[in-house]
Amino acid sequence: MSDETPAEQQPQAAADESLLPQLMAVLTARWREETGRLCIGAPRKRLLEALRVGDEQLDALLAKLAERAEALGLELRDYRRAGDTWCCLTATHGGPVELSEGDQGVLGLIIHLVLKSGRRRCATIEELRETLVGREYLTENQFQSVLRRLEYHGYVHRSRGSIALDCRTTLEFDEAAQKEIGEQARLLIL
Amino acid sequence: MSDVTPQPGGHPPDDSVLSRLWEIAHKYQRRLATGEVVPLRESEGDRKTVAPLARRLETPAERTLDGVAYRSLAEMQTRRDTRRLLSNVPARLRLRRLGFEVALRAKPVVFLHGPLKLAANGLLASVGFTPDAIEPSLEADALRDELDASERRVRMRSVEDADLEAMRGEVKKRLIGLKLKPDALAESLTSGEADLLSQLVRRGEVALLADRDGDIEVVEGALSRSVPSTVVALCPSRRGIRRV
Repeated sequence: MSDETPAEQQPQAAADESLLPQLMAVLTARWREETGRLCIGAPRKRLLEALRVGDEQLDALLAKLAERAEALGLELRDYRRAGDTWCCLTATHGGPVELSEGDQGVLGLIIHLVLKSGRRRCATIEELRETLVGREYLTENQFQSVLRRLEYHGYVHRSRGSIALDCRTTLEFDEAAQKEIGEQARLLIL
Repeated sequence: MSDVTPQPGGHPPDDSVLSRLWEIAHKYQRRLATGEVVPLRESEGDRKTVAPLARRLETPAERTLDGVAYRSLAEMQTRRDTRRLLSNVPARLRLRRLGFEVALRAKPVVFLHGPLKLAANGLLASVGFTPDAIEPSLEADALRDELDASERRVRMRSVEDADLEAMRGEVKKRLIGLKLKPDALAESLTSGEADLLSQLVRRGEVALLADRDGDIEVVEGALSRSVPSTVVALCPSRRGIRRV
């Protein structure tokens, strides 16, 4: 039996190897849901359905992918969204971002205001406008277009006059980074 | 009660040190949290109040509070200087500076799909690369046509036993009685004739006899066992023209 086991495992290992490139493609995908919000990576539930595997097998596959990705400076991350766990890949040591410096500055200020709001975890758009437009950092048109870009790229989420951080911001900036950004925003803007 | 009693030398009691440090540290922590800036004159007065207390620190709590008070004073100093320096920097530049600080701390999500920001043809454009079309070669076409024509012209046919016998007879008739050096024999034979000669020797119809000078004589019939046929390795070099 001991001689047969490795031979039986070989086709399974080969199948797992062939799945890794497909998993890589799926986890680095982005798409939009019906409401227009950006979706990053793939939900775990759909991975289970598509691969027709159990939780343990999927965990083993993801662990193998994470091990390979680590050597490339990537990290496998999971986050909660709409009652499901999603998986995606992020850079370990930073990299180019899709926003301009001005957009990133506004994002930094939003991060600070959201942190300041405490448990509410959101800032009012009026407060943001008062700071940026009222103190002539931006014009009203620029302010609106920056907010649109931030929402389009999945960094913030607007609803009923308030603005909250979306999944992409919490993925790209951990708690320590958010605190540091908040400090910088207080020094430079407020 | 002994703690609150004024000590010899006019120094206030220890809890006075603690209360002074607490008061100053708390004041600066509160101002830092609310984003206020304490004026330089007031801050300098507080520093002069804290400085002499350093010689009378005894308990760990006093030392800790002394550290907190000094750190708060330093943070307020940093904030005051930054505020003064930033007052001359345009608002847009300050926003970009904050953007830079944000980008420094980003660990971006990786996408392999969607529109790319980087131009992929930058390097090729810089060296003026233009792909050349491969032109058809006239010589290659002519050679290919010639090969096609020759294939149609030359007809392959199978060789029957009677033909082989006739060819063996021709070779036997031509070679018997000749006495040649091995090189000369090789030059007089084509590869097909050399093969037929081998078959004749194997059958015992022809024998090769080598003399002392190294000449090879082709004789008819097999030699006796005491005088075996000489084995000669030939590399036939005559190019034969075969009739079709």
